[in-house]
Amino acid sequence: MNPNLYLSASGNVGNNAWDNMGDVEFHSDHDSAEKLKKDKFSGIKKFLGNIFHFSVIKDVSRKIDSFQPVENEDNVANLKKVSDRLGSNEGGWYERPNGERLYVKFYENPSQGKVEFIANAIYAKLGIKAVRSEIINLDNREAIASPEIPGAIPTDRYSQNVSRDVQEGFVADAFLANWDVAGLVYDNIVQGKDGFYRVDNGGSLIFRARGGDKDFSPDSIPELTTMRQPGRQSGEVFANITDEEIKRQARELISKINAEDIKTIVDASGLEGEERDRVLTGLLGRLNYLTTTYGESKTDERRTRQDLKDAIRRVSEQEVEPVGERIICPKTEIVCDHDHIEGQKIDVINKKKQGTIELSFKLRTQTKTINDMIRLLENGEGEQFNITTPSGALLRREKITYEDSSLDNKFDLCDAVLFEKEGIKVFIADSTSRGETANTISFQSNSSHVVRTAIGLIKIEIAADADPQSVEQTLEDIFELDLGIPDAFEDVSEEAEREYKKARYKWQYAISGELTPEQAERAEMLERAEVFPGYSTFVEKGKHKEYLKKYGEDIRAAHELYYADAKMIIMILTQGLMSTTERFSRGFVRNGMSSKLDLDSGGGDNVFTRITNEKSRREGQFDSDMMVVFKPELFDRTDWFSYEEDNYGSTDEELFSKRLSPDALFAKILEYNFTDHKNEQMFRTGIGPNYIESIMIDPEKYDATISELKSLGFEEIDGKPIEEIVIPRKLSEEEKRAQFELEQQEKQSKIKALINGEESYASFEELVDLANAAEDGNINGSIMMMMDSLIARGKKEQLKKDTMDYFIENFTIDELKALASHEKISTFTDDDWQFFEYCKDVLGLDYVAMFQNLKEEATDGYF
Amino acid sequence: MGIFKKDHSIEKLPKPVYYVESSDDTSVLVGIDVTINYLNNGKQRAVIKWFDTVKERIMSASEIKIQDNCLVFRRTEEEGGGVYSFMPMNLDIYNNKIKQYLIAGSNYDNEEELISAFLSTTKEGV
Repeated sequence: MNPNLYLSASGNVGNNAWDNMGDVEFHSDHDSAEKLKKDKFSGIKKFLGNIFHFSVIKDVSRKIDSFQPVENEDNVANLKKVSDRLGSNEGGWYERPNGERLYVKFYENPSQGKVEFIANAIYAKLGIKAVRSEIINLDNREAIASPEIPGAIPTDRYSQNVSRDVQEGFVADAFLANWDVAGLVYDNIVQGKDGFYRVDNGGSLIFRARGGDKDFSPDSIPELTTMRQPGRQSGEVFANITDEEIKRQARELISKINAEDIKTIVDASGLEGEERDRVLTGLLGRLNYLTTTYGESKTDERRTRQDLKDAIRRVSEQEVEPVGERIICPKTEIVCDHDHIEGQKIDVINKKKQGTIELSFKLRTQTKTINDMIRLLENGEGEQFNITTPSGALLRREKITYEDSSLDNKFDLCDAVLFEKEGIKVFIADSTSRGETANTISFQSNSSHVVRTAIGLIKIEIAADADPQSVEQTLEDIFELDLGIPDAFEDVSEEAEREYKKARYKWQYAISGELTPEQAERAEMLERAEVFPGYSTFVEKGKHKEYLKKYGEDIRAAHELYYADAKMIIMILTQGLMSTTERFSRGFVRNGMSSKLDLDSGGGDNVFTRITNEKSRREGQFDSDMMVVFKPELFDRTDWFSYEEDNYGSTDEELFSKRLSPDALFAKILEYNFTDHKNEQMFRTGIGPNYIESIMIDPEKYDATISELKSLGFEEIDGKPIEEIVIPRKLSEEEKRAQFELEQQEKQSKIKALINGEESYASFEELVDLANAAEDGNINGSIMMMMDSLIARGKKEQLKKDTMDYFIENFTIDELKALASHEKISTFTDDDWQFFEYCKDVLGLDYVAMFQNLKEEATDGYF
Repeated sequence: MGIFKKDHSIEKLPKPVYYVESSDDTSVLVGIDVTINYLNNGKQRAVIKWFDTVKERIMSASEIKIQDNCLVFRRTEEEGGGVYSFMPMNLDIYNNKIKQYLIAGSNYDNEEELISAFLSTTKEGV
């Protein structure tokens, strides 16, 4: 989501709301309104008396406290029309045999009736007096029916203005965008025996009173302002509502209705499709707006701005402490910006060893101002070192370099444009270039041919002894005047945060279109949480429970390491796992022998994991020394993405568009029964130690490692014995044997069940798997016995298809060709050939046709 | 052994460090602790796994050849295909084909030091 779109839309909402309200109220071609125009305001009471002649009808008394249906088919069938329409819409008064009367309206667009139903039901839920209504089918047409208000009489502007019932419903009116609540001649509110009732609410939500479409913003409630402005009917009625009163009413409203209530009401209305989505999104968004704007925690606790100078002071006070043999520079972050900075946060790193404080962040998109500056350098003017920017900074070419805090090691990530002013250096990464040997940028999984971890990267160096106050001022100048980011250090507004959450939600769940109302509601619920020391992101708390329920309670993300000793384990348990760029940016650039290819592919910004289950973790097909297993709460994070296969964590657009949503990922892995280990997940920046569930190590190293950990003082972690956190990875030989024997027995039982008919069917693939457990070791013979049995039970055609699919899926082209031509091939034994003959004769497999079809379909040029 | 026999076995390549090359994939460079997990149950005949100085890599192979301490495999089409070759690391390969792609590759006089330096990257992955 481009936040600019939001800002633009928001502005339009306000303007349009005002214009449209005028439209509704003064340009209607409503019959009654036309009459009224002619009459001007003379004889108004007489006119109102005609409109509200129903008000003298007695004896219907219904409690307005629910939105359950009021009419069943029998009742509807017995309705008798007793009067003509009262307003612009077709309809009239209808009477039951017992004398009960209902006003029935046939809207030209039946959706408007549903919307009126929703508005009335919400009023009821909020305890605000309004006519109760129901959608009915009368004479094969959809209509909205409302029982009369007992003893109702007309009201006027003055009486509405002083009515407690009317005034106390103002926020609800604004919430529902019921612009026409008062009525053209204050005729939409009547006085019943027990108070004032809103009786014509068809101009709510997405409809104007006359049925036209209207804007119904989910992002704010402009009506809280516009409906109080004098000059309009609603403004005359609500002009005295104060901001304090709005706050009080808003709090009452959000205490009485929740998102679930709203969804239930909207569903009960029968509204469908785009209109349902607009209404639901609008209502949920508006509810959230009231909650975030007027809710107890939001209005009473002022949002604290973590301003730059405070962050600099705070991080400066932190001592650089070694972790094991490493020195990792302290880091904090400030949450700021509206829509330019990725994650709406800036890292502040204490690099005292280098005599600097470093700020680091990524731009979501490069601004035009920055592009202009870069172009200035590209045009050759950058050869001079005295280009002065609008803020007075000097502009020149430089590079972004990662330096180790304690050694001389360093690494040039890419070239950069540098703005320098008053000792402050702002490096803007040029991800397209790395020194003179540009060919060292890896381009696989990276068709863009750029250093992908450098895209949008900005690094700022500040002298450690600089005055934070003046630093902030200078940086604000540079950002505003040179970079075109005037709001970089401003607090994140609620609107900007809301938009960012929506964008993040779409990103995380690989949603390409607009969010559904339910998704939008979930997006609103995202919370910012520190997931790695000094790094926060949005999390969807509890999301992991859904995954575990759907895909298995034992699914976990895990990270494998090729070295394990006590010191390494301590480092992991105390600092978690860090991405390459996180290590580098915090001053740990130790091993020059590591490949830089992950920095080019984009994977270097992330910690890599794979999805495992208990069995795959225990059995571990490979022999890495250590596996870090993470708590399922890790899946709550919204800053990770995943591939089905090993793509080196690339963020290349082409590959990224094929990433899997979490659900698609888990479903795939489940489909392969956790035997496919090539999947990869990329978690941004780092995974904090609080996410570590266990560390599994080679059983041969286990005892010695535990002893060493204890000798180093690590007997417990968070109150748990170290043996419960650090556990042996593999099953013992005895456990392995027992497990294997159990599985074999189960398979042998199933073979018997298939042969004697207790089991009705198994796919060919399963037959192969079962036959591998055959007691006599005769795999092909066992398969044939099971096939004979299935064929005898009428499963021949199904089995034929299954077998053919298996051959096509699992045999190589050369093998299929050999089958078709009956040529010898090393992978087929004589026993296999006998089996293939059996399949040909008994199932009727045609190997020549299979091969020909495959050949014709082949598109990979293999043939 | 018949075509339907499922025989999972793991083989580890004899050398500790390999140069990994693929004309289709420049994200590969160095292979440490290269293992082959033979599956023998379909087109995906083996899974090849190694540590590449930064992360573990896992790829599915549809064809495998091992000759003169070198491994060549064809990646399955489902994973994008391509042919990958693993050659034992030596100073010549390091200087000509690898050094430029490292964070800060040092100069080495002998192979033993070179191999040892690569193996030390297994301790840096956190």
